[in-house]
Amino acid sequence: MTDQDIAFGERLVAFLPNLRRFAISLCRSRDIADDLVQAACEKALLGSERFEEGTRFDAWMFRILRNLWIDQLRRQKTAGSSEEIDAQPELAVPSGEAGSEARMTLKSVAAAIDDLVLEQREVLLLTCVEDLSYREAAEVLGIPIGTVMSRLARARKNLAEAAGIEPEAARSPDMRGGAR
Amino acid sequence: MSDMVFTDEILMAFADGELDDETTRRVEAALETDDELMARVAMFMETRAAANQALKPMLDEPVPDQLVENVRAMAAKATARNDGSRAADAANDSASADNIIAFRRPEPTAQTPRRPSQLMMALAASLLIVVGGVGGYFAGGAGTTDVGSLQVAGLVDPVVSGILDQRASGEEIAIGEGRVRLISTFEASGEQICREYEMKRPDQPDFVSVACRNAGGWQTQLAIVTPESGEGFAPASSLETVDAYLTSIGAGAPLEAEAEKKALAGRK
Repeated sequence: MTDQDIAFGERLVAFLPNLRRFAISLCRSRDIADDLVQAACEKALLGSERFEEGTRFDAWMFRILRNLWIDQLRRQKTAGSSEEIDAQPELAVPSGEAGSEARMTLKSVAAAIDDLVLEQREVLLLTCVEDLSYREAAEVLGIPIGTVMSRLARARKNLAEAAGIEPEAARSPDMRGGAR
Repeated sequence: MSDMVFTDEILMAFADGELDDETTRRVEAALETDDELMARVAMFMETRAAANQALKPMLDEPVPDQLVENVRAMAAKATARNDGSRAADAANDSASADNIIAFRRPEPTAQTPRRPSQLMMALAASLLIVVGGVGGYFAGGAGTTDVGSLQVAGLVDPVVSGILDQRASGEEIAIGEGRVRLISTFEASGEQICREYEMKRPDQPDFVSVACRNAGGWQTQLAIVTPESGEGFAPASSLETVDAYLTSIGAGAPLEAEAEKKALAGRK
């Protein structure tokens, strides 16, 4: 059993770069992220026997870390620096006049991801960056798979718009239809 | 436009390889005739790739030594504790780790998302035109592609046909104010001779194309409008699309100069 414990610790260390990337993108602060990573590792080590071999270790770790972060957000709600967990998804969607301006000053992809609201950012990170399936992301986030999909689709449309990724033809099929 | 309506979620799942077989087939069928749909799929593919790419450098950032040390120390402590009184501690451990819920074993399908075929991926990555073997058509990415006399029901324009019949790969030939560059000659699925070439014309979209020769002459198999890049010919992403297409039709390796000459002279 000792071998298994050592293996678990090493596995954790090997996974630190990914865990840290997820944490930094989640809380947008390297200092907070490192504390968060450490706390998540501590929790994982305490509950290592709860990890089922054969399941995804990364998903398990992401879930622990993300739950810690959400707890922290809840506690800090009055501290001012926190982000509304249920912030309106429309916040990042430029529209009308603001939309054209936003399009002229395109952001880098990384900056555009940072600007997504938390609920869109986390689902994008888990699926598109960390390669979890929709189902795995749903388990990490504790939400239905349908919610993962609708949030993820919105996140990617917002990202495409903010960073100018959208292929031209996709931008406005309706407008094109009208112009014909 | 296809007569079916696909939601963003369906197209996204298609792009991510998470769609069931039945719906995948429906989307693939619709994509063949609907370039707006293709552009929507492309958006989901490109955002995934862009997000992945943008955050990749963070993995190379060194993890702070202090953090690594702390985690190692905690792991060592956990090992020691478990050695000491594993059974007795089990209850305590689970009490302090009550937030941790083990994952259910995922279904095999969830673990290995199926990706759309290489060809569909590559096609979606560029704004495209697919021209069928029979009576092809151009469907430009911008919906406004006018290829004028260059294409009649998939038949290659006579001037270009003449060039395809005679000129060697590597040559660049002026046609009016435009230019044709011959890229390669190869055999597809047996003995049919096919050629890949690029076309650049003023005030019209550039494209890269594959044409194959049959009894009726040169028939366009595939043409892809290449983004306005100012100078030069097709960018890499379009060429990947062509490569994927060539693979899908079982194209052989490009013929050497001598073999090309022979093959072109063989049958007209």
